[in-house]
Amino acid sequence: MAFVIVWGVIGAIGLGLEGNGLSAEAWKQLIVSGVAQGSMYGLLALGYSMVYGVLGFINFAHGEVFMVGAMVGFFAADALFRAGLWESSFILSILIVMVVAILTSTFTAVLIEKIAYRPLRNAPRLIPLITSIGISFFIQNAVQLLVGPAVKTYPAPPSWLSDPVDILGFKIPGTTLLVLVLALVSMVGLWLFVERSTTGRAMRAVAEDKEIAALMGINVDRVIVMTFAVGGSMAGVAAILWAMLFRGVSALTGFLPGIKAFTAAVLGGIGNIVGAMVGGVLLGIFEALGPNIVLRGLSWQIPVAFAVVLLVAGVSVVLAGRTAKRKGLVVIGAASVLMSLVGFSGFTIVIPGLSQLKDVVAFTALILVLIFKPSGLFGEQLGKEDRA
Amino acid sequence: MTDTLARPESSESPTSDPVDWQRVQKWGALGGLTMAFIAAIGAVTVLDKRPIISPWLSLGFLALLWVPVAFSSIAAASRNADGSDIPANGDRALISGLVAGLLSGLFFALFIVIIDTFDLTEILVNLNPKLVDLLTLDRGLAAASMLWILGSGLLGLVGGAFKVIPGPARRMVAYAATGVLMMALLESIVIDISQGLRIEFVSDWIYALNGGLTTLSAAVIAAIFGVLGFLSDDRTLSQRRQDRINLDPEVRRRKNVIAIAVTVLAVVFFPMIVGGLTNELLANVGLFVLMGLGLNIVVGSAGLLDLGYVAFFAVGAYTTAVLTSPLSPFWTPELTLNFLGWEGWLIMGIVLLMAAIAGILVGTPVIRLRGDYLAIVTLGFGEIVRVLFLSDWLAP
Repeated sequence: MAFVIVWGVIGAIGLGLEGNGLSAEAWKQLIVSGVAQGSMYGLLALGYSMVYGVLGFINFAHGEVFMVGAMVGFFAADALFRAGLWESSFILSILIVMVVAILTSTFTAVLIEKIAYRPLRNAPRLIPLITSIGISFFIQNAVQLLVGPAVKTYPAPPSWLSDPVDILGFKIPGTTLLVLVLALVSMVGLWLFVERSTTGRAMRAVAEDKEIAALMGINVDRVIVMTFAVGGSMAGVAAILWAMLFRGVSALTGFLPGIKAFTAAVLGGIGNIVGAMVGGVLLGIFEALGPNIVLRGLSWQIPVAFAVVLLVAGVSVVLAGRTAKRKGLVVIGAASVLMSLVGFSGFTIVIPGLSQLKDVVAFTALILVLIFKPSGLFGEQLGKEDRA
Repeated sequence: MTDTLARPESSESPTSDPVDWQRVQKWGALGGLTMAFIAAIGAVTVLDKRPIISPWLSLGFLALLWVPVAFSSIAAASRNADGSDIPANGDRALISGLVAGLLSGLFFALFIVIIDTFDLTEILVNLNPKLVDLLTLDRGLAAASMLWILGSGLLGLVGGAFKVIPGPARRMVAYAATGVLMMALLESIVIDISQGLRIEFVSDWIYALNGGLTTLSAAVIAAIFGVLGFLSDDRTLSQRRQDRINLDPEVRRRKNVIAIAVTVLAVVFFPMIVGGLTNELLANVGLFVLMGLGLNIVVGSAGLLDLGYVAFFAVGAYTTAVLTSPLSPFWTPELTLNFLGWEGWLIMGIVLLMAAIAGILVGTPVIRLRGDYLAIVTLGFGEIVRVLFLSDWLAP
């Protein structure tokens, strides 16, 4: 992680010096949109994290739960828009749409659990994983066939909401502000639910150890259904946030946010609820800034930054004094020398279509986290049988 | 509604082995919902253009009609305490099948009435008037609904009967149904092969002018496959496999040699006699077999769930395109995919090398990850490759 951060920081400084970066205003915009998207990822990540914590497998269909919520929410919004309610009382209609989306997502998540995962409760851990991929494809294609492949666009929010508000020098559009508030409220609500309520305690107990929880008189099946329901309702909220940020929904909407939310969950430490939220926001920021910092005009400062980071890594390896890693040090040293040579030779690559590479940055982050720090930033919280 | 159907039936069958009404209701309702789902995804409308038995059965209707048979058959089975299915006996299976079928039909008729009454095309694009016309069979809503309920009950009865008839008869029915379906679905392949073998008169006789089997040929095919089914033995596939393993090693080796020889001969000579369509199909089959073999090494032999395996396929395809496309900066007129000269083999070597390098690059760091993390890392890698290759940056 330190690697990536230092790389980013040095890249940013280099860009500032070069003057080919974006203006300060643009950076602020990127940060705001990154946080907003990130809080959506955070809400989705909660679903992955909770299911992983309790059942120990990645529920790939969670992205589709989110998509179904957004899709049904669209039809509600569309009906309200036609009835004229959307314009006249926006807050009421967005509440109605939100309730519809949350109910749909919750219902879908619980149904998936009942049909697909319950029969596999005692199967090897990869079996439900593969099942969830199948469910994900099934829902994607079924929705595409049911409602058609066209992208459905939510009606635009009224103008008083989309005007930017000035907070601490950040110009934040009203919809983004609403997104942030909604995300914060649901996250705090969920945290209170899991930490304070009896059901939340039961959930944590089941995540820790199913057998002992059952012996203590907890109905494990009911708790698992509750986990899916809570994860599904968070996906419903995320669906509304998505609708406000991007407005477009299609059957394929769920896949990428789903994987990125899983990335966020891993980033924060899977099974860890606070970690999922923070991981989501971090991923959102990283994704918004990443392509611009890391890849915009890959000129001399990037290889130099690379070389510096590699040198730092090498020095820290030496200081750590692990003889087993000496061999790695040779590789790192050679790489840093090579990088500096490349850097000062004035070698420049310009990458067109930068924003297309946003997903590449997110996935690279996922892979780096999984390889170098698989327990995430805040540590995993898994039951005994899931710790590998 | 289920109660009014269920109660009189249960009083009429005072056997010691009562009907499991809960199971019948569940599977009957599920059958109806499945039929509605199949109609709502547009399968009926689209597949109606494809005749199975010309002119009275299209693939679209078949997509609906198998549901009451299959679901009623499930409803007619009953369960032991340990959850395994036990064979049903006589009346009970028939009654269960019939009621489950009627229930499915009832649900589906209700669905037809709903889509006829309300215009839902704004939300569910396939529930259009065309579908209603198809499903009401030009007989008016009331008559069509009755027809669906009764027909579905009848098919349910068939499904229930399937559970009670003796083994050879069941095999005959299964073979006949599969045979007819296969012959109808593989129509263009069968025509292609029979043209290649210069026996067009066979396919001319089997298929109607506007596609699909004729009623007569369907009956003949059903009879032929039924006899085959009667002659077949009732060992399962795994039993057969076990028998093969139990063979004397010498005999097994000889059998393997014969099988390989036949396969090689078929691979060499079969494409010569069949037409372009079948060859294209066979090429695709070979492609997927090759990919499956590769995936089997990673997932099957090594036990690593690699969800981004297809990325290596993409790497190979991309490398081929970069080397041979006239739009690519690396293009040279000499380097073509000519497998009769050295060029094609050179390209293949480079492509193999690139895909192998990609495999090593991805594999080395992730190999120590635990199962599901490995799956997600490889999935992420697959996505990275896809996004990169589609981006402007790497466009040749």
